[in-house]
Amino acid sequence: MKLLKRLCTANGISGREENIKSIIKKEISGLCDISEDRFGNLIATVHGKKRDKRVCYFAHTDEVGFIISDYDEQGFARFVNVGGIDAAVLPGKVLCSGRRKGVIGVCPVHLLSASDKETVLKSEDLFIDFGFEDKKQAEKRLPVGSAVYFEPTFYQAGNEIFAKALDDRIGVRIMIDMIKSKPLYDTTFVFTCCEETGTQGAETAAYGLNTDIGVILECTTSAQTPDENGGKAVTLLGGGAVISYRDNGTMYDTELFALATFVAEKNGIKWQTKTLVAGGNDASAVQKTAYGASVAAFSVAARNLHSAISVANKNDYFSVLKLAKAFNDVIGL
Amino acid sequence: MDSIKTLAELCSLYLPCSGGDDNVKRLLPVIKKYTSNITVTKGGSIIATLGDGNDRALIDAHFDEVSFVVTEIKSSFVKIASPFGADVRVLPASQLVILGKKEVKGVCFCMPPHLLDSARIGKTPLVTDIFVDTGLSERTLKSLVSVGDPVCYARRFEKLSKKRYLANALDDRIGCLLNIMLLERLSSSLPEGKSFDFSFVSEEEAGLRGAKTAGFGKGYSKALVFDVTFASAPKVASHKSKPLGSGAAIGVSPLLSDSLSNELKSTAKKNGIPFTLEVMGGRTGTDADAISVREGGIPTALISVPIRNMHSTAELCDIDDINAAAELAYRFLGGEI
Repeated sequence: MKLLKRLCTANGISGREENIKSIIKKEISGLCDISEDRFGNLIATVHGKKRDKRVCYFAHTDEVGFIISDYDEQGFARFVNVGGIDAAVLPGKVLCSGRRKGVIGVCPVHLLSASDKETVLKSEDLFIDFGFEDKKQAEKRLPVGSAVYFEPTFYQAGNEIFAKALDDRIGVRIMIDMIKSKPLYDTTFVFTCCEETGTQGAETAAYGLNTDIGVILECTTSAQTPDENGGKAVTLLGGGAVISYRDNGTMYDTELFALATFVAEKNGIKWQTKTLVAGGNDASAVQKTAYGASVAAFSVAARNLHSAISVANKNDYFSVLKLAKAFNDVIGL
Repeated sequence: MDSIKTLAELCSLYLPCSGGDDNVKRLLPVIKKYTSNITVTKGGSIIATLGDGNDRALIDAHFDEVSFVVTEIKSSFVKIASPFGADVRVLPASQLVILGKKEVKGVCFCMPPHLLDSARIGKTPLVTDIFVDTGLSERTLKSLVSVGDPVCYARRFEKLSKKRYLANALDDRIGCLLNIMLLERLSSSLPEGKSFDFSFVSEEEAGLRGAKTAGFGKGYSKALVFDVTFASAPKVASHKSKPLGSGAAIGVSPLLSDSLSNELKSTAKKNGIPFTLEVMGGRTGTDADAISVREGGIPTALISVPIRNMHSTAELCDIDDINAAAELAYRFLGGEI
């Protein structure tokens, strides 16, 4: 959990993932061959026994966030979103850029008409207030183009983990664990960049890898509340590893899906599937790049995805970890 | 006194808009550092008295903050209501603290963008649809939290730049700070024949309830109220707000005493203290509305400090404005010797 905390509280929007990659490199150095491709993906190859097929695991290092695009005369920052962020989660949130903090400003409720109160402003109509006194000061201290993040948060309560960027530092954490526990067979682990901007990292990584079987380790969406435990919740916290058969980006390999559920059952690992076709991940790129690959995805369910604080269940994390390891011992032979 | 340190201390306290004596228990130790001459009123307000002269003035600030209340506990979640003007728009994915038997952290549920249906995009959720996720089992949660417990925004106090700070409940801990600053400064130069009651009142956000009774019947010759006002920002009408750093905002309203407002104005001018005029056509939305009509009428003046993001998770102020308000109030109260 300590390492997960370090990963979640480190900052790395798409394309600016050096902080995350340096934590990963430190953790895995000496355990595998490490290389970085031209696009910025970190590729770790672990040598074990040979197997017929090339097996690659993927987890993405980037998180959703913002880039400052402009300042007005008073020094208020305009910004663009990096990745899919619903503007409803932005008003009043504290953000950070380096050691600077700022807040997404709101017009006081007292001054709003009834209809304005019910309306969520679009991101492009919002601004970040870093407390600058004017444009000149702002541009000097935090230039246009600076990356901005949700404020780092990480704590545990009961079985739940509350943190920034669980998507997909939780997948990264699982891959580091797999590398440390020395897989039985040759395995390639790809820490991909730029998933949130449209899986570009996975696309460029998959090109050179000649993957036969790709397994994506992710953090996936849940809308579970006490009022919604059924279909519209998509996944349940505490429901076990999410094994995907279909989402908006990918039709997963049916044999791998069947094998994964079999491995889960055999090893007593709790598992679930998505009850709605929703979301997408690096699998869509891995499946279709170069000569293509068979893909599977194992995910940890999380509420509040792509917001300041997402929430996952510790037991689901361990379920995905166990499944990912057990699956790796039986595929591609 | 280090005013920033005191402000940070005041802002760190959870003082929800609620009855009971928990708020008094939390706030009293801070005020006791500066005086022992303290009374607690039946309405849960605190009055610190300076001097025993017959000419008594009331200096008022409210200590309560906008807050929520637990209405239901369901598995690891609580549901809340917002009866006191807190900003519901900031809730999705915000961190709150439930003041139960222990402080329990929670994060408000938000619908992930992947699952938003088009009918919900662009619409503020209803507070009744907000679930606060605590992570605790229902049994543990119910042993710590009851329906009716207050819920506050999680605390923060950040220095953004040399003069600007981001914090919760600046509305109206800034007023509480001003009370303490004046209490300290006037105690070493108390004008003869005067005395001052500094009231830290409860339940302003629930409709000025504390100010109606705090110090009732003491025969004040005048009152000065400290509160906050809207600071300029994009989307905030410039005629309804004051720029940050523009100094103390002096209230002008039919319900305030014109002669006191003018006195504030001339005192500011005479002493080179930056100020603006905040003109209101009637109610000021502050304790002044309650105090000015008490006991057959108490001449009342209002000094406000502009803050941004009022009633949200993170309010923002400029320390120069606080210092201007403190200096103006000091000159105004001491200038009567």
